[in-house]
Amino acid sequence: MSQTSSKNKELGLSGTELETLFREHNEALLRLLMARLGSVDDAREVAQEAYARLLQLGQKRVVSYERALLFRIAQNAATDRLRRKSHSQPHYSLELFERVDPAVDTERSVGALQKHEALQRIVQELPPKCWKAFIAHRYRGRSFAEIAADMGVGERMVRLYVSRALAYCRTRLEEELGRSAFDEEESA
Amino acid sequence: MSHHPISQNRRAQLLEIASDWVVRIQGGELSSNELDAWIEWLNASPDHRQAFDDAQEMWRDLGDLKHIREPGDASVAGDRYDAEAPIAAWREQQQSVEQRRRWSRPLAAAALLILGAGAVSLLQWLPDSVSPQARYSTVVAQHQTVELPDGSSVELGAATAIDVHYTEAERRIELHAGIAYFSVEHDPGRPFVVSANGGSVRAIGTEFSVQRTEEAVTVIVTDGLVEVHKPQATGSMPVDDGRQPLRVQLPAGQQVSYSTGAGLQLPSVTDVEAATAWRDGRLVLQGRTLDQAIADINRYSALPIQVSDPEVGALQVSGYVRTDEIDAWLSGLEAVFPVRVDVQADRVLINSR
Repeated sequence: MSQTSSKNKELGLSGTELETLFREHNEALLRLLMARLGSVDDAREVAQEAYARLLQLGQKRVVSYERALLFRIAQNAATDRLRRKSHSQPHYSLELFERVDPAVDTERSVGALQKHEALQRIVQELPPKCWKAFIAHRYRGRSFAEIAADMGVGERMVRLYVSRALAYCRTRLEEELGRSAFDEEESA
Repeated sequence: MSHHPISQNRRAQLLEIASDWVVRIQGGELSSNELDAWIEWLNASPDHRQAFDDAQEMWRDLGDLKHIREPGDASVAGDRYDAEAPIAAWREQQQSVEQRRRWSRPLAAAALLILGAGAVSLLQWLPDSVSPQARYSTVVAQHQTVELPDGSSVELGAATAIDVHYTEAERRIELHAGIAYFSVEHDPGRPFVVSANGGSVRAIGTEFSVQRTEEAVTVIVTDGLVEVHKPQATGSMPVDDGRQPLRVQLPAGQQVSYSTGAGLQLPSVTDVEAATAWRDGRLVLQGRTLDQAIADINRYSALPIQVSDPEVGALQVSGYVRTDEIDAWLSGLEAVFPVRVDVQADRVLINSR
């Protein structure tokens, strides 16, 4: 647990300290929450919730290592939010992915469509074990532990299959479309 | 966006690390140790943050894929990938194994002169008075990237051999054969020098490639500036004979060649993309004769290819060849030129028809 410092004993976390924390770590915190929750809006909300909880805590208790605490609170809040979501939303079914939705397709820009088509091709180049683990995790929401038991390998290996597949897709996509395609898209 | 361009290799490495973080983070809560390590990595460079954001974007985009086709049980069972190396490196290796299997013939003796698999070898046939700290070499159809102690990196093309000699005062690489692409970390106090066949290339922070063939050494600069020094007869002092410069400064987008016989040539403007396409598995043949093209292609062909007729060898070729599809290119030759491609037990012969 966090160590105590006599200066903070009565005061808790002040508004200024929170500002410093925000300035120094908000960018990383949002990145973490985005990666965890997959949505900018959810990430912002959970971050705000975490700051608010940290302030409340600060009034009762001494906080000397605020960064670690802020991230721990935020990660807990993200877990809660994901748990609530999984109750209200069923997991993807595979049929969903075999269906073509023309309405969605017409909304895509030419660039996005090109990217999508390239990705459909690129995933076929993945080693079969990587692709199998990726499908189970990304589209069926199965945990690394479940997939590991299924495939008869360790959890670390499953995580590696998934992350190697992710890196490969991005690297190959940049090769096919060129990095400039992404830069234009991001600045547009 | 990046504050400076980073090499494709570096970018690929960063994407591996970034993807690992993205996958860990979305998989559950990070421990406080993991969290510290991640924040430290993220804060270390804008290139790291860019890679993380891009990997995360890819995670999201992959979630939008339709038409998911599950791999069959047999292909999963037969898959030998162990995830210890990036997938691209593994595929490259598989393809060269596959190619060799297709030829299904023993490697030619010439190809065996260079020991391979990235091993630090102790070959005796290389004339060198000073023993190197490390020696790296690739076999036919193999590429390898070597990370040097100062953060610079060298990408070795096929059938290539280099020695690394690092001292306090100088970073020196000797290119014995083949082609290598150098990404050099800036260090004005410690010049980076590539020597090949008596001449040398001096760089400060830059990217360039050096190719050594039987006839000549060719230097191509993709970024920054290098200084190319004329080859000297062993042991003699550089002499200015007034006819040729002792050295030239070569900016990005230019190339220059030298040889012991003809000395240092005049620099010329070059198509940098074409000249470095080998790094992505393509050899651009535009503007070359069949003889010149075959010399390069032979660094990727398990069986040596020989042109029997000088008239055939002088034919002008165009386009490019994928280094993992040489056999397809060879069979295409018969359709374009009046030649016959004859695959024998130990070589491929190109005859006139």
